[in-house]
Amino acid sequence: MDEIKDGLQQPEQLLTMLLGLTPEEFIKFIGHKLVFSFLGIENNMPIACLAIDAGENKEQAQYAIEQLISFTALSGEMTPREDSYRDVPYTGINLGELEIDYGFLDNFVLAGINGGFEKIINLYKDGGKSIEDNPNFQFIGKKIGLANEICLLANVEQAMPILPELQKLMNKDNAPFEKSEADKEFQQFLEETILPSIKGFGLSLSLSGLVHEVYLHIKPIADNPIFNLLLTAHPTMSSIQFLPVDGALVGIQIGDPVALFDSLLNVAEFFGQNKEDIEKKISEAEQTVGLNLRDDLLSALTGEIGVMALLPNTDVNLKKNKLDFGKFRPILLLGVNDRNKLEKTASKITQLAQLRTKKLDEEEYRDFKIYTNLLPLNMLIPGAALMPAYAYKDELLIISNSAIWVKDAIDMLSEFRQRNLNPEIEKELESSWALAFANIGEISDFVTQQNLIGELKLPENAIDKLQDLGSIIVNYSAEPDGIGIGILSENPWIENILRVVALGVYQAKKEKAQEQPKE
Amino acid sequence: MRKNSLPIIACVIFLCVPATNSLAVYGVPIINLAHANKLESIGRYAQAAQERELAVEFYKYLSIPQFADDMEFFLSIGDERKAKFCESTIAGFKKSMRECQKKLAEDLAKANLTREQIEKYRERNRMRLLASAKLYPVMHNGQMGIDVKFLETNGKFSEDFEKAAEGRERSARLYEKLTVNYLVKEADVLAKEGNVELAEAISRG
Repeated sequence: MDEIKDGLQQPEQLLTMLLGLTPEEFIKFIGHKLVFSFLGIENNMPIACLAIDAGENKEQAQYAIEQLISFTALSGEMTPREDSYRDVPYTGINLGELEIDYGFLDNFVLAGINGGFEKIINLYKDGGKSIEDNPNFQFIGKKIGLANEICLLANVEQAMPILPELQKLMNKDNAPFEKSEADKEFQQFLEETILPSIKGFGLSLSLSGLVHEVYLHIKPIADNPIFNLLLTAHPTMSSIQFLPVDGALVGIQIGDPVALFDSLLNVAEFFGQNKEDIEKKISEAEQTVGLNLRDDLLSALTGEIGVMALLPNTDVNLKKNKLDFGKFRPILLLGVNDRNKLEKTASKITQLAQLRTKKLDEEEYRDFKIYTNLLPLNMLIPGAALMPAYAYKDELLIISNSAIWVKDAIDMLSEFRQRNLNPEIEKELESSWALAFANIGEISDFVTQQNLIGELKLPENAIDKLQDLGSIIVNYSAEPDGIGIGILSENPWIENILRVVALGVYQAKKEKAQEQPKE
Repeated sequence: MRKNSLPIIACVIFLCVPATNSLAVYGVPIINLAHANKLESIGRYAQAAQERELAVEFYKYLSIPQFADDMEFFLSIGDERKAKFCESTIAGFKKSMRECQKKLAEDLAKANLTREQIEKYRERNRMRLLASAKLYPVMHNGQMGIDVKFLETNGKFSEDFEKAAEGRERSARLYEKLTVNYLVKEADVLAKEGNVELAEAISRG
């Protein structure tokens, strides 16, 4: 921290010199709450407004905004004008075609472009004193946590008309190229079906908090199987949930596997495949093997699937010995509601595939039975064999390539139940049906130990900060009107990442100065 | 608010330092004056007065002494052309400062501010000047194209080390003429306000 403090002394003085605020005043002013609202397009010009809730620091905020605006004073053309809108005084300046208005209303500093200021005043004055009451954001505003410091709301629906213009601008400098038929079709699908169905976007970030949210408001304009697949609400994860594993975990609740299978057939049909042909081929295959995919396999599953990749818990040297990659502990988790049915099906598949599996061992561990089999791989590698092990824990089937690793998974699942989750995280995970978990702290520690980042040298302090990141979870939940993505963490990672970047910059600067040897 | 956010915000600003360096050292009084003119044009005399007073103090305690030091230095090494430039710049600053003082009096008369209001804006102006006084000696070398630390670490020829020494000497002189001078002035103001402890702390450096 001392290095950061030394490096930051000048910028802090510069901030005071230019804006007339101490760093503490600056943080109090912008760190309270900041909302950027994009309110659509009118006459081909974007309408937006930045609202800063300065709390009790309105005076300082006013001064800082004035100082920022003063940088435009050197241009003779930019003469400010004083006006008022619905009894709220404001100052307006024109930067080319862009009209900027700024003013102060209660504790808010408002800066809008092209009428955004007036729109926010209307929203405030017409009863609704919160962003949620703005008809443009009513939906999104209720979906994401507006209590965070940084919020970005966009009425995507209103921005759509400008997209073709933007595309023209982007294509201007690029040499025209002939698009394939498939590309043209995809573009048409994107322009006519996907983009018009996206109504709004919301992002809420917390600088020092644990929960960050993204919400995409979707209202399909056509009955499209992709939307059906994306927006269908699923049962939430019940067995996998959030497991603080030493590595990474990806889990998903795909809903009723039979229904999902049917939905996938509809999607295939939408993309030009003949659904009846596919059904026929599946039916023929089923008759050949004597199994019914829906009845004998899919209906035995709950829909929960998870994959864990745990870091090796023994000494490894990945650079010297490539075989050490085998010490990563892969574990497959499968939600099962009918063990007998699944085992019968598995046994039949094994016979059909002529896999000569042999039961090796059966042991008790923490009230669970772990079964180990021998699976010879003579057909692939003479003399080689796998020893897959599995156990059932409640509705979860845990499979790995070693009984020890299955035990590790059982430990994690059992200990997780005793953990007290942060209530904010728990609430967020309630509606989750897909999540990805990564213990960034442990992973970065491992990567550094194994020197896997090669030439990229991070300062020691930065490595410590990376390890402080702890775990990050990304969860996904769907509703009929949109999808929500939550980014949850054990520690305030935005703050930590910024610290890592600052230390990296400092170190790079230091090393650059020492690069050339003295003569 | 969250104290932990301080380094984050500061980091962002840290990345903007090189770009704002030049603007900060030479541009501040000019921007304040231009802003004051525009504020006057829309009848905001109180803010215009604050901007003008800041510009006057900037000229008085920072810009003019800094150019005076440059002039002395150029004369000492026999570079008359550069010394002349400094002399004419100082003359321009003084003229601009006098005009500014005159307009400041007019703005204050029109704004009809209370003693309290004036004291309040002066407090903020002093804070800005104090930060600037601490910053100038470090930044000025950058303006003269001298990166002292880089030259000291990577210098290959005797000229490199001479340049570094020149930069160090300049910084030392400017610390004395700008930073210490302003700190003494600030201590004086604080003592008069009855804030003796803080004044003594500033005097001790």
